[in-house]
Amino acid sequence: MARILHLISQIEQGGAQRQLAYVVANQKWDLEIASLIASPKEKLFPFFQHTEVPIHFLSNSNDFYAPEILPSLIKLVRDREYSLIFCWLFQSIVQGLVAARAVQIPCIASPRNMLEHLKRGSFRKWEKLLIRRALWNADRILFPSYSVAMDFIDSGWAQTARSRIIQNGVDTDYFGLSGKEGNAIVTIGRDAPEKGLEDFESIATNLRTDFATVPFCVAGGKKAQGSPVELLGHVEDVRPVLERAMIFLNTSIFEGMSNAVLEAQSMGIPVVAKRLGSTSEIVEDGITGLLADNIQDLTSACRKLLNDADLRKEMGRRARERMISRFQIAAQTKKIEALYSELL
Amino acid sequence: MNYYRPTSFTERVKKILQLYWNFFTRDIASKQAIALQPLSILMIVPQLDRLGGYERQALELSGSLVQGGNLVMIVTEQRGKFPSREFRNGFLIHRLNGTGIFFLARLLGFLFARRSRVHVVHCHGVTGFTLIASRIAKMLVQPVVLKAATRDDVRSIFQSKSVKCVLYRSWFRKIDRWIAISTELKEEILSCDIPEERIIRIPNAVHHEKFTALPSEQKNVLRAEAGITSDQTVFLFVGRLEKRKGVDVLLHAWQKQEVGVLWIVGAGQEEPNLKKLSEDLGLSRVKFFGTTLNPLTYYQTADVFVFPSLKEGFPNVLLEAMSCGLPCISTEIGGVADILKEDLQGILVPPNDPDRLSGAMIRMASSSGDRLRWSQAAAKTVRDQYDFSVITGLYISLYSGLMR
Repeated sequence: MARILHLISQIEQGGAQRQLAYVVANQKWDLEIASLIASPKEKLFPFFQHTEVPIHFLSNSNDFYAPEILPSLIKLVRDREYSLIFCWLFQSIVQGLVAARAVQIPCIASPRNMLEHLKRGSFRKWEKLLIRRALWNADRILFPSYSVAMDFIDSGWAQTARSRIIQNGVDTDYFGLSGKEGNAIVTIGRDAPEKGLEDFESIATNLRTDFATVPFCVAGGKKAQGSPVELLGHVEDVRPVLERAMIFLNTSIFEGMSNAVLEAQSMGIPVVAKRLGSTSEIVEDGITGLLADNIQDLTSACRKLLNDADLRKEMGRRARERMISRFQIAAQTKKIEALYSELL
Repeated sequence: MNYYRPTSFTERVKKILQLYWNFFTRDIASKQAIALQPLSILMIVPQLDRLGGYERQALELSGSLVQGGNLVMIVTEQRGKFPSREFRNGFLIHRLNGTGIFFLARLLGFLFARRSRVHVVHCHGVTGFTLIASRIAKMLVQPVVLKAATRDDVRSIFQSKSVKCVLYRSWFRKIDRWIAISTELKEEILSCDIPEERIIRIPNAVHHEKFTALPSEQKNVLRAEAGITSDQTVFLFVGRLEKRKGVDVLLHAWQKQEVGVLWIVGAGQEEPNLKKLSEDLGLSRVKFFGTTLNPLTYYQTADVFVFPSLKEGFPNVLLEAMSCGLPCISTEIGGVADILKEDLQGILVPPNDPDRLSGAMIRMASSSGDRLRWSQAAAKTVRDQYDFSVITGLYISLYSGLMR
């Protein structure tokens, strides 16, 4: 059976890492993982601390473009005789493609976020140019949502013929119903400007006057005192946090495909979110959650849900049904396996 | 797997050159890539943000196509202060600025830049904008589908003697497929010298899972909230209040015998006149609700849908009412005839005939057995023939047939 290398920039935390963990756990293929930079074991994403799948680290420095990465990657690919390289996230695409071409094996590139992330982030100009060339030339490009796909194709970064869309999935058994409803408004997101945590805080301040007893929690952000919301810092397992939730509020400015929203919906929690392309793919406005464009509308959507327990229950039920019928991780993994066999 | 390893110097140089060449040109299994690629569709919708009947159909169809695994892009005119590039439900909306020749230049540039990323161009409505866009798209070698949604659009261009219309008419032949939403429209397009094999009848669609009847307990709760007693029959009309909708005929018919409650949902220029008419006729059990974005609750509360329209392209409200399991009384006009059959899902009456309309309403109010039978048949018709899942399937097979 063919051996496949999953190349990723780092395996500490993030949405793509969570999806990779799902894929590795559910797949029957002979998989190995390579990370561009090394991480100490205790900092690894929890799944990868215990997995038996081999993990290779290509560099000891903190730089995604350290000079030793490419030779050691090519050497690794030669020695382990992989037949396919699967590159996750922007940073790994360029070196993954060069290595794949050097030994003439196919390469799948998978950008996980909107183009805006590349434009706003700390990417250097030559880096963007290289990523663009590499994406254009990769054998297949796997997008996590239709919005991301449309964004790249419309901007001329990806070819339609080589693009494939497999939406992110969620483990609906692990993220199951908790049985009782929580009492908090919750969001999950690391401390980055695109996650819009300031907006979350201002919504919390707006709602504080009417709903003084409702706690507001942020998991994954920084830990701090004196904020209007409860900052829980980085959490290993988001399930206990989601169990406390009555409403999940997502205020991200852009989002490739939000795992947190998927997980919240899978646990039967109604979602209030900014109307982004990818979020409106997973949240049906008015049926499984409420979507809004600005802070005022988000606040009034929260208010509407806080006042209506029946609506919350109904939306939560519809949301879980939809996750089970359309976003099961097992089904998404099957599609990824079909993509392998398309190339091998 | 054994990898090829270069041995001599010349081989090494050859290998580097080959690597460089591969990086830019190689595509593994490219034939398969083309066969399995997602279908990418460009929708051209004039004035999307007006949100009338066919704009809403275009949006719903796009969402439904994305759910089916296709890529959809919509291009429209900017009318107001909307974002020029917006993602919604997985598809992308482009709004182009400018007027006249500047707009045309922008449209040309837009289509040219995307000529290799789009497989099919689908125009909604027969207007100058869509015809010009379809001509440009055809020039850039893409199959073009044009949906005619309103009556007399095609014929008026075909019969007009103005220079513009003569030009437009000469482009009619270039369009690969004409979509007629009703049999009547199909005949109209056929009469404009367009060969029959290029015309396809694909009706409008409705989300049956959204527009669905409530179980009787929940319906009774809704009725109690609205102050309706259990023996009263609620007759419902939904639509813009215009002359051609024939609401005045309905009020005259209602005057003959008030057999329950009549609800009129919608607004329009005729609203004050109709309210005055209702007062003059001395009608007590008529209620005007004004306009609403979500008529679903009205469908779910009512018992019978009345549709007295005099002229109609394709009545979406009738479809929504049938989807909610309402037996219907409608005038026998084009567009309706495809959907509603006499004594199968309701009663058909001639247009502009208050006597027959009144008779039909009395019959509806008195025979609950017939009503139940028609109600079930109406919901079944929509589920089997007019649900978005069915109609989207028809569109996908049309697109993929054209791509070959």
